Amino acid sequence: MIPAILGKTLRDRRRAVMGFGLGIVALAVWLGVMFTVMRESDDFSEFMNNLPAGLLSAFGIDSATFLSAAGFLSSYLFTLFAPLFVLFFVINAAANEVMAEERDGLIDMVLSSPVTRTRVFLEKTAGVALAALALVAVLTVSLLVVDPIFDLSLSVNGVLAAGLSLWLLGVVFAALALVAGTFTGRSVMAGGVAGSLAFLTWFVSGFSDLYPPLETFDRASPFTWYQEPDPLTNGIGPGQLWLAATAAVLITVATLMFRRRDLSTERTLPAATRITRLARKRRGRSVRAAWLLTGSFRKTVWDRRRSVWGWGGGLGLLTLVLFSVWPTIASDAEALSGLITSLPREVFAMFGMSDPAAIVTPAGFVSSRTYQAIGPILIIMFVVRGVSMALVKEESDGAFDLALSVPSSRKGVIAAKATGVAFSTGLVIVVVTAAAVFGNLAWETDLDAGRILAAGAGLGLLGLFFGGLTMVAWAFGGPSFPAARITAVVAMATFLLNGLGSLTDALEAARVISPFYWYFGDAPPLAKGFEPAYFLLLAGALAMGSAAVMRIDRRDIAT
Amino acid sequence: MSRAIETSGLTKYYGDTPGILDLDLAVEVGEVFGFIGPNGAGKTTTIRLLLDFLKPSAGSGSIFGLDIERDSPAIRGRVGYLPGDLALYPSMTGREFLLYFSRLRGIDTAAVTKRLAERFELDLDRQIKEYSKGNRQKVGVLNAFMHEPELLILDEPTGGLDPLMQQEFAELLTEVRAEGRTVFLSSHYLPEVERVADRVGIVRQGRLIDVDTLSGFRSKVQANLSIKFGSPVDPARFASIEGVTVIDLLDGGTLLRLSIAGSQKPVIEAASSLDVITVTSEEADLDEVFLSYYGSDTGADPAG
Repeated sequence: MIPAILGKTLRDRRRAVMGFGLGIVALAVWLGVMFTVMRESDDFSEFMNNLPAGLLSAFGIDSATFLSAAGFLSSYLFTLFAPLFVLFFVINAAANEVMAEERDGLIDMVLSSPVTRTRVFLEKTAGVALAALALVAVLTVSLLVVDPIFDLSLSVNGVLAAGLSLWLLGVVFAALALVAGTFTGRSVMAGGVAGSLAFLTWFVSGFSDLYPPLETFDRASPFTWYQEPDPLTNGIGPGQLWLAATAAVLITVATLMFRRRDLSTERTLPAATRITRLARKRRGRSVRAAWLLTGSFRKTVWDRRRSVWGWGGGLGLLTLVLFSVWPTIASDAEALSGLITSLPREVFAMFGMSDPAAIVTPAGFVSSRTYQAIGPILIIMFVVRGVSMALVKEESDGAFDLALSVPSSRKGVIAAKATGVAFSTGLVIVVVTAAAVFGNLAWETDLDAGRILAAGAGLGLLGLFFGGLTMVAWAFGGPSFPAARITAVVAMATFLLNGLGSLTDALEAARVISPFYWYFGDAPPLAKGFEPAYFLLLAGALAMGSAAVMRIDRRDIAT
Repeated sequence: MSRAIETSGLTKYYGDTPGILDLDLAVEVGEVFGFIGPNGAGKTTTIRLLLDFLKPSAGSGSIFGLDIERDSPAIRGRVGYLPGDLALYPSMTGREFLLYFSRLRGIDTAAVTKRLAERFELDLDRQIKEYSKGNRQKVGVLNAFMHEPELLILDEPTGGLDPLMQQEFAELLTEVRAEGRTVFLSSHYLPEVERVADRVGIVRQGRLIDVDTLSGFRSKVQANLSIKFGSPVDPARFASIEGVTVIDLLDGGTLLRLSIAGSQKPVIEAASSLDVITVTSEEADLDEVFLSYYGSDTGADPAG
């Protein structure tokens, strides 16, 4: 029989495993198709051999192996998307399963039974690790299924080795989240620390070829161990051993810490004491908080403050890096444009770039990442998360009853919260835009400042559009309706629709309904000014937001 | 035989905020012990120390002779706990929740659970998030009682229960005591404790102030006397008697209210020389006793 806590942990994760698994299978199939398309282009293979390796690594491409399916999948699937999926899943699982249970006081219940803390902790950790293993297994199996269909000639050993390495990478970051969590006792810290470290080490590992100062740290990054010695081609090696050892050490540290700690003291301490302590720590904070906590709008902004820094900082940093590597790329611009023309357009379309030639301009290059790929993903996640926390979750937690017990209209309260989310989105955009303006000046890319502002505005509006969608789904579906998940699906579908619509005539007409089309169109956002289509995003966001407010005003509030 | 609960010098600081200070507590097997004090007095801190959720800053404790830190899992096998700030898994049904916890305990509790659910009129097949506050509390009660533990540690147990269910709960505790089991009942609400407790400990600002039986506390209280006179009297005459405090003088100086510690004889004698109409004695009110213990000092509150 499966031990109770382990069983519950797995049960709690099953939906997430299925959701992430579905996404990862779709990704594997999609990349299989892309590779087949690419392989059939002859110019392309000829060209690849003449390109400088450092240049390509900025795009996550290893020129030596890119032409084989294994190389292609290593580049796209295993260095970028798969770790993103798995780490998101695993960090979230670790933070929730162990740390959030402490935050919610549930750990008191669990530990009032005759089980040791060690057992509770290890069963939960094992549960998270096994759930991650299930997710990785989904990917591995789907690759093995896709292999004969697209004639990828992957080696079974290689696929298994890559899966193992990916799983170990996930376990390392789960363990990091647990260490951070048990050290601070807070789930926010668990997720925040592990997430930041994941981003940082991924960055170090991915950009060290281009950016020599990073090379010093390259060996310390789990992402470097993870790709060593390119498991998909070469099987497992010392890198995986390093990952396993690191995970074991971290889990041991976290377990020891968990055994010794006072549990959920934040709950035991009365509010008054906490505030005095905070006030002592950071003088004047209570006054500022008092100012910010005087209304639904301000409270929403206040609640989002850490996210604003986290997400804005991450995206801003990425933007700066893109500007900083541009000079290197520009020096090889000719080679690059050759590569671009040799690549099938589908490859670019799937990253939202319908005009591949634009990528050899600074505007196109920076846009391709900040405004067309990672930026939209992050900003949409930020907004949808904001709506979920400020509205959906408050309703399902019953906090709405209190928020609405004040003498202001329900519409007013909801609108104020939504505006709060929108405002904090604006703050993220301000951070990103500031980074772009600074990067533009520092590396003399000569972009038009107005267009930088316009691209930022478009990005923000794109986020708000999907925030509006989440609100509508929530308002009409109720608090238990998966509003955020539906938004994610719609976002992915319309993103693909835009990309594929630029290629196939059949989808060309349908493309105009994609919000991503309104934003990207056929030119990188940084290369154009404020487009009339941006108003469409704004109008959509406002219309959906208002519809949601109207609907909420009339429906029962869940208890 | 070991005591049910025994602590010596048990102390917990949160940073430099005191939670509970130098607690010496002795709860005998088979008694219902009320642990009462205002919010933030240190009650929950004490309980969470006993269950090893918090590590003591100083001192030690034992439950059934087992060390609260070293032997905690063994202790928890013999204890039923109902937290004051009850948290449950919202997406489980009541039955799933109780099944999960009985599996953690490694025992089959189905029969007891069924009986208790019927007794407290709880539908176990609904999701916990659909339960009312009272029904959630019942799930907590069932979880604490389902394995028929030797010691029950209950933190504000009747919160959210309606009066009928509170009555049912009090009866349950009486039965538990009749079976020779022990109850440690923490509350800031006197009637909850008064109904069932054999002995009561009062805690305030992190310190255990006094432990006594309820009748012991009653006898410590000062009696109040109201004397109605036919004509106005001089209160100074009574105020000078030892142990007497004049509360007030009403009805144009004809109704005198006194509080008396100790013998009432000198007061009766003094009054009898005057134009007495009636003498009324007010029964000692337990609330007032405890309020006097809670005191008016509301300085820095230690943690609860």
